[in-house]
Amino acid sequence: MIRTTHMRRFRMLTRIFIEAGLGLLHSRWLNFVIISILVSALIIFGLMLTISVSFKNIANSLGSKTEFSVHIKDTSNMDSIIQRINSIKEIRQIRVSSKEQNWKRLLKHLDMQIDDSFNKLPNTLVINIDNSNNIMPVINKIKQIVGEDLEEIEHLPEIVRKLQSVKNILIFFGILISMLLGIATFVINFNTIELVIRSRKQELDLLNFMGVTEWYIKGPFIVQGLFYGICSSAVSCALLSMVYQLIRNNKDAANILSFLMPKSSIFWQIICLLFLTGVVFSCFSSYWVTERKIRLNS
Amino acid sequence: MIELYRLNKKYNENEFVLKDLNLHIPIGQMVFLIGESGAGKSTLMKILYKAENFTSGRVLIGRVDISRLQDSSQLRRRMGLIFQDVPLLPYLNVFDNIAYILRASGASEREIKYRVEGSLNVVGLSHKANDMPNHLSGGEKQRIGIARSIVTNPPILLADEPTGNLDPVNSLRIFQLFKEINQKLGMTMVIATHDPRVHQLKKRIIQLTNGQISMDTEPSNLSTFGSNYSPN
Repeated sequence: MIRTTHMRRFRMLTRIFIEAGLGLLHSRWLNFVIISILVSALIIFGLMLTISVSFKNIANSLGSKTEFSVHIKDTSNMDSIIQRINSIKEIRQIRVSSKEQNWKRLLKHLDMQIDDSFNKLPNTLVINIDNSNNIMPVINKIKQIVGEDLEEIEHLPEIVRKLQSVKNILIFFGILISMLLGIATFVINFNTIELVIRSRKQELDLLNFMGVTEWYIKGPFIVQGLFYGICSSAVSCALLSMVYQLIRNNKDAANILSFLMPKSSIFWQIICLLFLTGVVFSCFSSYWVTERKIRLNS
Repeated sequence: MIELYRLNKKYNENEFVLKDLNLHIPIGQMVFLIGESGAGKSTLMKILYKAENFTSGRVLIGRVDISRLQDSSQLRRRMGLIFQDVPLLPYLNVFDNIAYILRASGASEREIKYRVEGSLNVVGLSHKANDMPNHLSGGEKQRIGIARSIVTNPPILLADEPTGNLDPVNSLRIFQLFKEINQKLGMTMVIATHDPRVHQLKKRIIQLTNGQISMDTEPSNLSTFGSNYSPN
């Protein structure tokens, strides 16, 4: 008896997948439209996640630095300034990099030969402090001490702040585009499944009057949504993984984009999250349309 | 068994569609529900298969209070429903139309073959198993509808104006078929109809007038009822 019940359930489950397949056949080219839009949304969403994680890591590593540079006008008396700055108790070490040293370093970096008379670089004090949290108070003190001799203070929290604002803009637009594409997918998925529901109204009424269970009636549409979700997630994850591997295997590209490339383990976590997002999103939209459009018990 | 106790149904505060209905239909009984349009026949049928809720009273089907059922599918699995229009799926042949519901309920192909052939035999259309619905006459379609509703062997059969679209000859044949099914399979049947000739079948007839039972004639009294009965 129990075995029969299990076999019946198994056959019903099989029928649900068959009905879902028929629904997909009925939707024809709309399947491709839904999957394409969902793939685009997921790729953009995945890129945003990747960039967000990478920027966060950069910000964390830069934010924890305890070193910054103070550029002093080349007409100023360096010894006197160093003496005054040394009085700040949070400072651990001060290293001097003269304008000549800076110039040589720049030329070496650029691999160029330029006459020293063109050197307009300032002298630099590379200052190391005890704790990254004290950077801003120390900078303020240095600004007061150095006064008009100060040309610029280059500190990482500032760079981090700029990076953060760039990241925020990117993420804002990324999320906006992802949301718009998500809504578009939702609407198209909704309409496609609604069309299938309408075309099968007679069958659904029949099943309803014959007392077939709700999950059997609604199941095929949710399976259809699951199919869209799995297909689009698989395609978008595969595309992102391919790009990631291509960049990693190409040294030049890897160097240029190194700041945007998360670690392999983190990247795979992002891929898993992306896959789940696509599947859950698509299933949910299908579930929602069945709840809205299939009226049972009437 | 179908039991109604002080059943009321109203759409507006003072407008009763069904008023104070008390009814007892024993297992295996065949009942015709007659009455003018708007008398409440269809509403009562809808209440019985839980497509509509009632305002007050109790409805017991197989000793189960249907108002306590959250899901109508539990109830409908124990019923065969037949309507005026027979919704046959146009892209399936007769056999597959009848088998459709069995497939949905997970029956094996062997069971499907056995049951479908059995129900086609009951309605006398075994030879039409491979025909498409558009090749069937109105009467044949209704017979296929009946075959489909009995294929799951439900204890109760509800038919709402099953002969509404049929000519008098076919209507009488359908009623005869219901009577045969009732005798062969012992199903409890409630058939709502306008057709005045149902008295010829010598079965219980309940007349509804303005939502109330105006006449309930048991089979034993039918000879008297038959001679006096005049529709509308």
